[in-house]
Amino acid sequence: MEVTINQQKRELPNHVTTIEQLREHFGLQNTVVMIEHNGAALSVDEQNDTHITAGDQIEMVRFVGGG
Amino acid sequence: MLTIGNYTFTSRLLLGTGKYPNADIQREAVKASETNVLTFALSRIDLDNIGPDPIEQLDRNDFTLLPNTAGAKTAEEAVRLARLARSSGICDMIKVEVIGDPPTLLPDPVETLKATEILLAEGFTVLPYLSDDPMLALRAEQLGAHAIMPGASPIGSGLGITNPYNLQLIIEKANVPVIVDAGVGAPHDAAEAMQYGADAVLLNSAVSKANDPVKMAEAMKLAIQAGRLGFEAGRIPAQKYASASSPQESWAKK
Repeated sequence: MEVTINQQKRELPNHVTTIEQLREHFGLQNTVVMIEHNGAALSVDEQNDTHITAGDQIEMVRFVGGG
Repeated sequence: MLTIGNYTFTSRLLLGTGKYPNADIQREAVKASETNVLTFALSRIDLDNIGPDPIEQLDRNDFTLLPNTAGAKTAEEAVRLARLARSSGICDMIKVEVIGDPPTLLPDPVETLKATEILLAEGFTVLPYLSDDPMLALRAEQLGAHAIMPGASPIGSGLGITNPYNLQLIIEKANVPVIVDAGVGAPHDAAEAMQYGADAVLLNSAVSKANDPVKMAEAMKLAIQAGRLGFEAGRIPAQKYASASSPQESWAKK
């Protein structure tokens, strides 16, 4: 299905239907990733329970160096 | 001890994590600084070029993370970033940084106060980055900010404390911790801030862009300790004329 991630449209493989699987798809399952799903910031528990549907707007964010 | 909201820290140096030459130097500088608090920004992950995670470099148990809302131009954007940061589950402190003017990186006072108010209502531990305006500092404190962070001078400028009069006013009036944040260049700037009675200093470029960041991190640690000791010791007042420290009896003339 097609979703928008970080303002870019991406086609996801059929088996990716949850945020948890989305993270695994990008190899980000063992690192701190902050997720906004359709405008809502998801806690780690919520990420594991949240399903993705076509057209979803997702932000995948991490901490970077800064002052 | 430095107390901010429910947090207590032994170090009065808060350290930024931006713009280090490489990860090894950063790690050594962080260690030399003996800081307890590290600041971070939030950024979209480049999914086509993921790269190493800066947080993975740290032993997170040794530090409290203080994410900032860098990039936000409005209160709404700052709140969005803060909520994302907290969703990570590893921090509930937030540095509200809403910049109004790119060349000076001075904070937008209106949006900063708005964001501060909203985030306080949502239960964050809020540390707003402010210009050195005593009235702005007072307003932030009245809203309930857990600490206030006036800039010594523009971010990364290395100008030190450009307005000691204002900074001292802010410190005098404040009933919450004052963390001097932005513009520190040399160790004496950090010591000066602490001598005025600031509770802590937050700096980044002064260390990360120094020729020897590791040595500078140690210098800043010592400067902040010295400034704090000096403040606690109670300095002599500055006066116009001399007060002799040696007896002035002129007995040597034959």
